[in-house]
Formats: sequence, C-alpha cells, structure tokens
Amino acid sequence: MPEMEYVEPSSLSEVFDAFDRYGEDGRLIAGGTGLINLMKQRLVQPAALIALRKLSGSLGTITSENGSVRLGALVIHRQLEASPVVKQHIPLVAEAFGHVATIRIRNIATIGGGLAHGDPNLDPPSTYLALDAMVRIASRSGSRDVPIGEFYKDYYETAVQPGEVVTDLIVPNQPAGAGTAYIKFLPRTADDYATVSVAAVVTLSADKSRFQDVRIALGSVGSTHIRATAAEDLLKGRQVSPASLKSAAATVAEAVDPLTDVRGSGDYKRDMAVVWTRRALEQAVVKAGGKLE
Amino acid sequence: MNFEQRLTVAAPREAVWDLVTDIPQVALCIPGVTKVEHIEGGRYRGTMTVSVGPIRLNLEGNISVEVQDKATWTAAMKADAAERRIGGGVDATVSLTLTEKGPAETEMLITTVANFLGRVGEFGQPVIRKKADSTLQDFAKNLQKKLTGG
Amino acid sequence: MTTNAPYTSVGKPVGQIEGVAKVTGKAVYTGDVQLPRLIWGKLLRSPYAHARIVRIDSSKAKALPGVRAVITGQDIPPTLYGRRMRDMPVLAREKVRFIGERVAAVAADTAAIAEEALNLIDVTYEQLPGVFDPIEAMKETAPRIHGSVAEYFNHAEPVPDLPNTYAVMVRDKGNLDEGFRQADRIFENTFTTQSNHHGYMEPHATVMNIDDAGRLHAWISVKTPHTARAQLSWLLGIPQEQIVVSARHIGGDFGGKGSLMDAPVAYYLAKASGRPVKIVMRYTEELQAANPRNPGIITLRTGVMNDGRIVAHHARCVWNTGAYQAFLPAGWVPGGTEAAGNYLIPHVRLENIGVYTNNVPRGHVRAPGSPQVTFAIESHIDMIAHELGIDPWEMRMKNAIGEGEQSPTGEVMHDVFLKDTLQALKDASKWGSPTPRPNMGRGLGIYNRHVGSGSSTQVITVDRNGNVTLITVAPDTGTGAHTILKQIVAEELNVPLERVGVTIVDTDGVKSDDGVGGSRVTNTHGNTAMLVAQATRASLVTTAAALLGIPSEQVTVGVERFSGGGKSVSFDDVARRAAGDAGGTLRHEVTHDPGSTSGIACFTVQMVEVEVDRETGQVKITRVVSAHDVGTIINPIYHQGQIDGGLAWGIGFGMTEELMLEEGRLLNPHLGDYKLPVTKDMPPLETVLVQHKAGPAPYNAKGIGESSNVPTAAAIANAVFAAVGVRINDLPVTSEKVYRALQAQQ
Repeated sequence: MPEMEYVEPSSLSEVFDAFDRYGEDGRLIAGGTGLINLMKQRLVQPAALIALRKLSGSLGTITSENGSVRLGALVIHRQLEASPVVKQHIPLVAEAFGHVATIRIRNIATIGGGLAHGDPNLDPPSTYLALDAMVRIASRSGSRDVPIGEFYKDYYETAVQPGEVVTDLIVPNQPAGAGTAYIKFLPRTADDYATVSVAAVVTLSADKSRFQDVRIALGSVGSTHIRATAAEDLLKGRQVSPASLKSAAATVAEAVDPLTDVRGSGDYKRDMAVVWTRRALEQAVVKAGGKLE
Repeated sequence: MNFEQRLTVAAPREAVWDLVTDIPQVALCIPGVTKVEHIEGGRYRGTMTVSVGPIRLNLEGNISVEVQDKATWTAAMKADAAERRIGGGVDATVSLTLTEKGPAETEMLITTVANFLGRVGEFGQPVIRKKADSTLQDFAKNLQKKLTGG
Repeated sequence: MTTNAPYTSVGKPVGQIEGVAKVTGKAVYTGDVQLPRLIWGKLLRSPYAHARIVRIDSSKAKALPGVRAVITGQDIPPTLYGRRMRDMPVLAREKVRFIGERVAAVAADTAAIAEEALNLIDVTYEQLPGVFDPIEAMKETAPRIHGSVAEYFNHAEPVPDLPNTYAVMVRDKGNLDEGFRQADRIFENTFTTQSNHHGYMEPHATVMNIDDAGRLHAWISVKTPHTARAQLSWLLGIPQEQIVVSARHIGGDFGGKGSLMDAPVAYYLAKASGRPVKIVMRYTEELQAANPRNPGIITLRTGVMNDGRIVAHHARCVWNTGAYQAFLPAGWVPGGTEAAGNYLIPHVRLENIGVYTNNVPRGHVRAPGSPQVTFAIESHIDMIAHELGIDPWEMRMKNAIGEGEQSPTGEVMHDVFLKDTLQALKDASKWGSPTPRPNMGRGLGIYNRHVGSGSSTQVITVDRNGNVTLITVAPDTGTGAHTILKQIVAEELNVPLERVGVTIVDTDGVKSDDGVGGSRVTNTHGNTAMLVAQATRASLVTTAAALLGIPSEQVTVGVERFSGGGKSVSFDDVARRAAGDAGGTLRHEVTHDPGSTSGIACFTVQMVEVEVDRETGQVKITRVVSAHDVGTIINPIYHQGQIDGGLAWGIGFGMTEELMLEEGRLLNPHLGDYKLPVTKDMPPLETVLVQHKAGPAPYNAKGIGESSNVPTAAAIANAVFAAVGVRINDLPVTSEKVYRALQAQQ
C-alpha cells in the first residue's frame, strides 16, 4: 500500500475538520473490513485515513427508545448479535448478524461501516428494510434522517454525501406477535456471500387466518437490497395458505435484477429468489402462529 | 465483454452521420468523458472519470477513428486508456451503424467490445459489466438528446 | 484397529516439530527472509490472452525515485524454462500467450514504489485472436499459440501433427477392437473437469542475492531445492556450485511448490540492481498466473458383458494445458494412465493429448491428473452399472483388480487389497441400507495411489552431549514429514523422541536430494533416514562394545543404554566417546534410492452420502466414509490429517473450487469469489483403515498424502444420481447444474 496519513479525531467536529483538510482523499475507517480490502487491491488510495475508533464511546452504544432501537454506527457486529436489547426488540436483526462472514470479522466490523459500504451482498440490510429502519447522517451543518428505502443508491453507493458521516441506525421494534425469518442461501461454502438472501416479517390477524402486514426484503439480487412490495401488497388481507404464499413469492421474479456472477446465473438467482421468498414466508407464518396445510 | 444498444432517433440519417463522425461531439456523449482534444488526423486524446462507490477511475488515453464508411453507414472508434494510479485500464471499440427508417427517423445500432485490464479488471467483472452497460445506455440517450435537441 | 507394537516411537501420535513456531508466528517463511539492502520486485503482467508486443517504453518507470531496476524480455537472455519441456520465457519477448504472463519487472525500495512504477510502463500490444478450448485449438483454423514445438528442449516424441498440440501419447494393452467385438454392450460418455488452484496459504515467494564473490543465494518457496538449483543453473548459465538454494518453512504445497515460478526474474532484477530482491506473489497473481490443475475433456468408451464384466476400455483424455507446458511433464500427464480405473480389463487403449490454449499455464496439483480421470471413470462405471441394473458396489467388486493381476496398463500388481477395502467400506457405510430421508443417495469412488520413489541424502550427527540431529534438505510442506523422520531415527537408535532434533539445510548441506513430491517422502526419505540411523547405531554399538570390552555382536541396544557381558553403558557415555573419537561430532551421511515401486498399490474407497434440495439443486453432503488400504502408520495424527485434509480438497474440487475463465480472463481473482470449503462445510467423516504389513516404506508403511482427495468428486456425482436421478458430467457439481438437470428431468 502507498503511504498515507492517519488521524484519529476524538469528536464529530474533529471528523468534519479532517474532512475539510483532506477533502475526498480522506476516507473514514472504522473496522476496516471493507475499505482495507479495496486499499490492498489499490482500488482505493486515500491520502489520509480518518479513524473513528475514539468515537466508539458515543457512537458505540445500543439503546431502546420510543419503540425503536438506536444503534450507534460504531457498534460492532458481535456486540449487536449478543445485545439483550436487540434480541428483545429486533431479534430478526440479531439473527441476520449471526450470518455475517465469520466471528473474526464480526468482532471488528461495525454496523455503520456496513451501511456506508453499500454492498448489496451484505446480510443485515434486508432486515433493516423489512423493519423500515432510518439512517441518521451527520454533517457540520447538523444531522438528517434518511429512510433505509432511500439510503441505498447503487452498487457501493449510498445517500451519504461528501462531508457526511453515518452516526446511527434507528430500527423500529418488531411488531408484537410478528413472525420473522432471515434466510441466506449458500450453495457454495458456509463463508460465502449469499446467492440470495431474504428477510420476512409477517403479522397475522387475531385468528391467524389472514395476513395483516407483510414485509419482504432481499439481498444479492440487484444493485441494492430490494424490498418486494408487490409480494407484500398481494398478501396483505389475504388468506394464509400455501397457494397465497406461492403466488406472492412468484412476483419477486419481477422485482429482482440479479447479476450473473460466480454465485450463479441471473436466471438461476431469479428462480432462487422466488423459492427462498416462499420459504422465508413459510417460516415467518409458522412463527407468527399461522398454519400452512 | 460485448455490449449492444439499439435505438431509434427522430432525425434524418445524414444528420446522425454528421454527429457520429464528429469524434469530440460523440465522445462527449459518453458519461464521464470530460475532455477530448484533437491530436492529428483521426487521432484524439481524451480523459474520462468513472466512479463505482468509493472507487474512482481516472482514465486517460487515445481515441482513434477506425472506420468512417458512409457507403455502409458505419463508423467505429477505438479508445485505449490507462489508469495510472490503480494500474491497468480499459480498451474499447465502439461501432455505430445507421439504418434509415424514414426521412426523419434513423435506427442506430451501437456495438461495443470492451476489455477491462489489469488491476482495474480485478474489481468484480460482473459489476463492471453492469456499470459499463448502464454507461453505454446513457451514451445512447445522450446521443438521442443531442440529435433531437432534447 | 491400528497398532504400533512392537515399536516405541513409530506409531505414536506425536505433535509436529514446527507446530509451536508456526502458531506463535516465529516460523520463518521465504517471504519473511530479511537481508541488508533488500529491495522489492513486482511484475507487470499481460492484460491480453494473446497479443504481439509491439513496443515497451519503461523510461517513465525508470525515472521514478526509488526504482532500482526495470527489465523486459529484451534485457535478459532468451532462454526458456520448464520442469521438463522448456517452453516458457522468464519475461515475454515477442508475444504474450495468457492474461497474467510476465511482461516486465521492477525492483524498487518499497513494494508500493515498485507497484507505482509498473503503472508507468507503457506497453503497446497488437491483439491476436485467442483460443481457449482445446478441441477448438486442435482445428486447422485455430490461431497458433507457439511456433514449432520441436524446437523446445525436452519436447515429447513424436511431435504431433496437430495445431497447438504438443503431445499425443497412446498406451495399448491387448487388442482393443477384439475387446469391443466380444462386448455385449458398449457405453460411451464424456466428462469435463475444471481448473482449480492449490489454495495453499503461503503464496510463492523468492529472495535472490548475489554475494560479493558472485555466488547466488536463492531463497525459494520450493519443495525441491536441489532440482531448483539444477534448473537455475542451466537457465541462468551459472555452475551449480555457484548457487545455493534454501527452502524455509513451506506454507502448503499441494503440488504447487515444485517450480521456480518468479525466482529467475528475481535473479535478473538482483543482477540489474546490484541489490538483493524479494518477490512475493499477491493472491490474485497466484489465482491468475500460478500453475493450477489442468482441466480435462475425458471420453470413455467401455465394452461390457451383460453380467457386468468389463472387456474393453478406450479412454481419450484431452488436456487443456494453457499457454505453456512448462509446469507439467513433457508427455503423459500424470494420472492420464489411470483413466481405466482399477479394474481387470483385458483390452485397453489410453490416449493422452496435451493441447496449448491461451489460458493460464496448468501444472501439478495434488495427485496431478488423478481427480480428473477418476471423476470420469468412477462416474462412467456407475452409469454402466445403472444401465445393466447392477448395484454400483457389486459392479466394482466384480471387476476389481486382484492379487498378481495386471493393471489396465499392464503392470503386475502385488499386495493388492482392493476387494478387502471395498468390503470394509461396504460394512462401515451400511451400503445398500435405506437412506434416512427421501432425496438422499450414496455414491462410491475408488482410487489407487502409487507409492513414490526417488533419491534422498540425509545426515545424522551425534555430539558429545548425546544430541542426535537429523539433517535434511527436504522441507516439511506442512505434512509432518520432519516429525515422522524424527520418529524413525528415534526408533532405530532406541532413544526417546526428545533426544532427536531435525535441522533443515540448504543445498550446500547435502550433496543431492529429490526433495518432496509424488507421494515420495515416507518411502524415499523415510528409508534413507532409517539407513542413516542404522549406520549411526552401528557406530555407537562399536563404541559401546569397546567401552564394555566385548565384541560388537554381543551388544544389546536398550532404551538409551547399551549392554552386554553383564555390564551396561549409557547412551550419553557412548555418545561422548563416539563423538570424541570422531573429532567432536559423530557424523553419518547416506544417499539412497529405494528403487522401483511399480505394482505397489494403496487403495482408497470412498462413500459419499448426499441430500439434494429438489427446489434449488443444492447438494448437502451428510456423511462420508473413506476406507484406506494402509501399511504401518508412523504417525496417526498426520496420517489422519492427510485423509481429512484430502477430503476437504475432494469436496472443494467436486463442488466449489473453479477458476472461472472467460476468454482467458479470470472472473474470480480473489478468495472471496474463488471458494475453498471451510470447516463448517465439512460433513461427518468416518475413516476405515484396512491395515496390512505390506508397504515399501519403513516398517511396511505406505503413502497417504494424495489419496483421499481423488475419488470424492465421483462419489459426490454418483450420490447425486442415486438421490434424484440426475447425472452431472461436468465438474464442479454446483447447485445450479443440479437444478437445471432436475428441470430437464421433469
């Protein structure tokens, strides 16, 4: 790697000072699991690394507030996975984090880094989408909240602008009585990126016969994580049955736009998105107390 | 990697031909191309910036006229650009063939053969393919805009 | 089942000598070698699969501060190199023939400066049409990759009269036409296999230093130091005695560490810069330009009688060698002779065709050629059995080679335990019993690995303090080789293991050694260690006899004691005296070649059980039983380590590992996209050892290093067929291929 400067600001305001000093040649680094790879390949050559480790006191906490869980951007994956607050209010998110890479990676990667990396193959973002999370982004002029559905723009591109830093992720608590599922399809090796991943959140009517609310999001099947709204709309209010799940899952084929790559052809991934959406819904329905005959 | 775009523009073939044989004009329709200078004869020098997330490619190289054959209404240019910081580069041959659909309607077939070389090519080829495809689609749209004054 | 009686050190589960150094990070690998004034070398590689080099302008690179040397093919002698046939340039001259070929090299004060300098070298190429498929490459219309093969040193004889083809080898037994005439039925299938990388953790590394006296000191991550010295000598035109090659710890070999790789270019950089130069490959360079497994297109045609007996077999293996043959032997691809399996067949023809293409040059990978042909023959046998309505196990048992019978290539086999091994596998795997769930199936694969041979030189020293040291030049590639050599020495001298040390030396340390490879070490190095230990023991007995005042024949060697005539002396006392008499150190050196191992078999029979997800095509391995025909086991930890590690390999080759190439361009140039199985992917593995005292290595041991990785892919494909009735003839068996086949089945 070429030589570079390394700074460790101890407040957000010092982070913004560093932005002013280095401009776009300064890169934020937290766990480094994404950036270092790009640097080792020489694809990214920052003039300076702006390390956020000294902010982990203020940005490394998990709190429950107003029906949501607030996750600081510097919370590490393993911390989130083990957090009682997360397990209690948003267990689906904890489940997805358990699928990320290996424990060694999860012990260093931060959730803010994962968000800002904008990689459509990551595990957690599908659950953020399915739970309608909000990303808080700070700049010198203040902070703004971006709904997760508007956060991801393209491959490795997010709503974060130059001069901005992700500070928090706010995830609403899972609906009471909801059944959830996160499935990662790994036909190659256990440490691979998903060929297709699906998060589903299902809330049923009191008598468990009808869908009240359904949220479905998928990873690894497009330039960003994708919310399968057509499938959701098809199910809302409908009878719980294998047939309804099947027809809803079938609509996912239209929603996804997967690349042909080493994990399979685009056509195969599209077919698999349908299969795994149905299976994720099946699991979620059962967990919500529904029956599928 | 091979790409193909087909579009119909509301302009006479002669007007389209004038544009596609004007290298600086046509090259500037490629998103990210910032500069095109004439060197001599059919040779030009250009720069292009392409971003994929945190990765920014600054490509600098030559564009040359390969074919300008009005008899077959075919024009082709070859670009050969290096990325000096990352290493490697891109080479591409873009061919345009015009078919008259009406007095003020021309079909344009754009075929591109591109190679992403060295370190530049080590960053996921499938994502590169997708990115290149969308860039070329925008190129086609820009040509259309230029011709129809849109 | 295994027993180490009557041995004391042999058969003990002793931990690896270098284990502590490796896990504490103290082990020095070639990439760790530091020298004063050392600078870094980096390579500019071709971005094109086939192109003419029109011009190289390196003036800007040379002007960059910190750059010490920039060289191209024009700056060095045009000598070609290779393990046998020499067809590969150190740096490309007129042409490049694959993406990743070395075009220019830079040496600079830091690796970062060297990389920056690479980007300043302007190369003008004229692209040429490429050819990537070996069948296409043999056609008259194909672009020609090389000039005349006949001009290459050590080329195959005769030079084939086919485009891009460097070898056509045919081996016949019996009368093939007659065999097919006799057959009731004839079956033909074609199988294709992929290229996969060795996946060792340590990338190729080299450090080259020319000392003030002009002597070349070469550190290379190579398992064959003397061979490397000889190759460097003729390639560089330097007498062998002016070169010393050192191998340090090797971070995994799997067949890949037997070549010079970038050592010659590092030498030329050292010469041009006047500084020691280090080159360490990036893993992307490893995947792009090392020497991965050669893919095969294997067509098998077999004549059988209605009762399942095989009477005729014709195998045609077309090998996609890539741009250079340098990493492979000149003629037969090893493994090419195994395409008839381990069956008693009277009429056999084996054809082996080596073809150049514009892909990365292929080379030796753990049991070169064998997993490819074994996938073909062991799938083919199942397909025939299915057509004939015969159980796959019965089909194999019916045709399995027996004691004193001829192999398909005509070797008379002895100490053959294939049928015993098949039976043991059947018993342990509950072959034929119902599977626990639907969509599950079991498949079989058989492989026979020869025991390797070759020559080794080893030294034992005993000092005045009674320290025994085995000195060897052959590196331990991670297998536990040095540990078993230590066990053999301790056994022969009847001393505790702690008394024996192992020291690795460079090529100055011993006169010659074939090094590691070809399933050789336990036999070649083991027997040599045994002989030098016995010579040492004889010396010590003579000294003990003198001390005891009795004739040597009356001395009994006990544990660290020599006794006779009612008296005894300690090992320490004898060692002190013997070392003193020898001028301070008692030293014995033995060079030995245990000779031909033809006809010696080590069978592996594997059963793989899978469960297939019909909706996705995903194949999960639920169970593996691996039965091995073994001799005495010198160290059960590393014996089992080879079996378990090999199985992980077999699964990787069978299901996940593939260098995906599109017109010679690698689509998965990182280990994130090129997937090796991980611990979580390993199914429950049961090992069955069928042990006989019948190996040529010390204490009747056999080899085990290149066995369990070979039959797995076939067993997986056969199990998938048994589970859901689809046949995958093209490796690896991916979920998408199974999914498509299931769709086609409906």
